Parts: sequence; C-alpha cells; structure tokens
Amino acid sequence: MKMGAGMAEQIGMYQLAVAYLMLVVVFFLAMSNSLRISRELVVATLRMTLQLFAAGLLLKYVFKIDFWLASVALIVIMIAFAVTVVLGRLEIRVKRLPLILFASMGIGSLSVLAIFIFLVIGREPWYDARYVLPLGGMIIGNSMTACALVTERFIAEVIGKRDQIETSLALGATYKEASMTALRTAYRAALVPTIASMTGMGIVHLPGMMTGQILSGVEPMLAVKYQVAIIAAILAAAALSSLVMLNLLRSRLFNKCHQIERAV
Amino acid sequence: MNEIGNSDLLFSLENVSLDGESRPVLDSVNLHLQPRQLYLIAGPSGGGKTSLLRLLNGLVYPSSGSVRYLGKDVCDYNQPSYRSEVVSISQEPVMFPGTVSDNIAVAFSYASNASKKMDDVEVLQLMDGLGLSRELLKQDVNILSGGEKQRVALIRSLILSPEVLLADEPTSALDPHSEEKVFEMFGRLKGSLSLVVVSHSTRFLTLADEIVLIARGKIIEKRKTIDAQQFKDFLEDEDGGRNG
Repeated sequence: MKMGAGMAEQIGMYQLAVAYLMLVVVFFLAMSNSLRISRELVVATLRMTLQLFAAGLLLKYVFKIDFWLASVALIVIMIAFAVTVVLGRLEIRVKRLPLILFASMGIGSLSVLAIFIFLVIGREPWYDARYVLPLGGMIIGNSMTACALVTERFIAEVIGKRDQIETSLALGATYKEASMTALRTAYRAALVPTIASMTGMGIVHLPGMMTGQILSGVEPMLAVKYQVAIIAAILAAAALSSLVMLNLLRSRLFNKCHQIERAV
Repeated sequence: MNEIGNSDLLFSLENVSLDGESRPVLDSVNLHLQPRQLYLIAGPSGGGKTSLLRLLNGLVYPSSGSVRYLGKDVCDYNQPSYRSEVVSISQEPVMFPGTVSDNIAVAFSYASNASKKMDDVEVLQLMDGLGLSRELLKQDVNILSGGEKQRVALIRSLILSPEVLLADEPTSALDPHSEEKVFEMFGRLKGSLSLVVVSHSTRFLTLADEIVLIARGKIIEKRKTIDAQQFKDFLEDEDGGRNG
C-alpha cells in the first residue's frame, strides 16, 4: 500500500509476517548447523517484539498526551535502565556505583540532549516527545556503552597496574598523578568505537537514523545533516559521560589519603 | 616538610594492628625508631615486614593503633608531601615505560616534588657508586636485569633527597659483586638519613644500629646486635614454625 510523498511505506500484518519469516529461516539455519543459538534466537525475537511494541504503544500515548513531565520521566527511566544494563555487565562491585553511573550518564546525556534540542534543532515545545525520546535514546544508549567501557577498563587498569600506581604513590605522586596513565587508557577505550564508526560512515554503511529518515521520505541531504548532528552529539555525550564517570570512579578507587582502597 | 632533630622520635607505633584477609598481618605492634639510624627488619616470609614498611610509608593505615612520624599521626600529613620525604623501594622494583633516565627523573614531575631539582651529577655518582654503567641511562628499562632494576629504583628514591628511606629487600636480586656495592652505599648513607631496611642478608647486621625481629605479625625482639648464626637460626626456626 502506497502513501503520499514524504511518508513511509505502510507495513501491514502480512508484510510483517514476511519479515518474521526471515527470522524463521535463520532459526532453521542455526538448527541445521548445530549452532546452539536457537534458544537465544527465540528469546531475543520475543523480547525484541514485546519491547518494541510496548515502546511503540508507550510513545503513541506520550505523543498524544503531549506533557513535559512524561518526556522527562521517560528520559530518567531510560537512564535508570541503562544503569542496570551496565551493572549487569560489570563483574566488580564498587561502592555507590549505581549512583555514579546515573550521575555520569545523566550529566553527559542530558547536557548534550539539551544543546541538541534547544540550539541545534530549536524544537518548540522543547519537550516534544517525537524528538526528545528518540534522540535521548540514541544519546543515552551511546553514553551507556561508553560508561560501561570506561568503567571496565579503568578498574582493570588500576588492578593490573597496581604495582606501578603504588610505586608512583610511594614516590610522592597524588592519586590523580599516579592513575593518569590508567585514566587515559580507559578514556581512549571508551571513545575509540564511536570514532572508528565515524570513519566508515557513508561508505561502509549508512547510519541507522539516516536510513530511517530516508525510508520515511525525508530528503537525503536533510537526513545527512541530522545524522552529522546526532553523531556529534553521541560523541560529545560519550566523551562527557566517560570523563565524569572516570573522575567519580577514581574517587571511589582511591581515598583522600592517596591510597588505593583496600577493597580494590 | 619537617626539620628532624636528633632528640625527636622518628617513628612511633602504638598498638598497631593491620587486618589481613583471614588473620591480622600485624598484631598489636609497639615500635619506636630514632632518626639517622639504620634499622634492619628481619623475619620469615609473611611475618609482616613488608606491611610494616607500607604502614611507615603511608600506603596503608592501621586497622587500629597509631603510626606517628615526628610526633604527628601519619594519617594527618598531606600524603604526597609525606611520601616525598619518606620514600620507599619495593622488593620487586617497578619500572615505568621509557629509559633509565626517564625512570630516575619520574618523581620530579609530581607536584609534591616540585620544589626539588634533579642533580644530574649526583645521578652519575650514584650510578658509579652502585656499579651501573652510565651508558645505561639512555637505555630502555626493558633491557635491564632484575638486579639493575633494583639499583635504578634505589637511585630513583635517593635522588629525591629523602629524610627516610624504606627499603624492602634491596639486595634480593643482586649478584655478590653488586650486593657489595649496595652495602657500601648504605654504609655511606648511614647517618645522613634514616634507613629502615627489610632484609635476610647477614651483611646488614654489621651496618645496622638496631635489629628488629618480626614474626607472625608481632615484634619478637629489638636488639643492638645479633650474631650471624643466631640471626640465621631465628629466620629458620620461625620459618619452620610458620610452615609446620
């Protein structure tokens, strides 16, 4: 069924069933090749379906009520959910880690989202859920990945280079001086994936947001401008969140007396 | 940071305990050390010697009791400044990526050592004194042997002109010739700064002003002299007792 210019092609139940059929093919391929991922594939398919349709319904409702508190609440919930995802990935426990993660992702994502909404696209009203939620989702998602990477790497560096750090401390270094190499290594690890993906854009792949916009009928050059702006925002949020995370995390791994905390 | 008078007590440990994972690493330790002396700390492995040095260096604080330096609790000092005055060398010296020269100079980049300036002539004198070729200064630390690293670490600490040097097994990786050079160096240093040395080597017995025997986290004895055989017997007995 074809819609008017500037609108996406409609996908009905029949067309959606065809899309699911592709997943069924993957399922049988996995079974016949004994890949032992059939169960994961079924679970992932069910979760994706439920989560996306639930998100769709929720967005539909939030778009309809058009209330600032709904947009803000959903953004906060997204950050809280991102915190639980990162905590699930980490094997080590650090005191007040959930709070540190929440603060880092909150500061990094919200400041960049605010710049994007107010200064880049100048959306009125600012809380328009059609803009705030998808953009927030992308920014928070990338901030989450960066925070997970930076946390994992920094803790591993401090544990792995403990002798080097203590040698510096024993020679009069502050904990900030002693952990500078570990901090730089972790910071770099957090930013490299985003920077690497930027270099392949437009040649190796078309980014998701731009593809989505083009499919929805948006003029390609406008889609490109949006994509450039969102990539800049994603990198800025990842950089800012990681930096806040590193500083807060460092103050948990070391104490005011410039010692490595005994629990580390 | 502090002018040390000969009448001041350098370190004073009162009822110091340090908790380990399953048992105390140090247990109600009382110890008083005078300035400008060379103290030899000896005892079996796992007896608490390294932990004692870490406490004196402020790298850990006691679980209970107090460690005082010149009458003031170590916890009350600004730690980086304190550690630039009371420096330590670990048993297995850690080198930073770069050349030997970079490693010797590393601590001068720290804010706490900003008022100090590296004396290049002194570096060369220390290299000569410890039997290290001057050519090594330009070499990458990765090519150094364990013994060379140990001596570079000693220079890295001494070049900071500390008031106190805490050395954990400073001759453990050395061949007899290099070991002799290090003993000679400690002999020259004695009296000009306070030295606390953890070692099993009987050679330090002749240099030490006092010997502190430690085992199972407790100070067993503090004495002016001990003969080499008695010293060895103590280490063997305690090691046997610990393992048995």
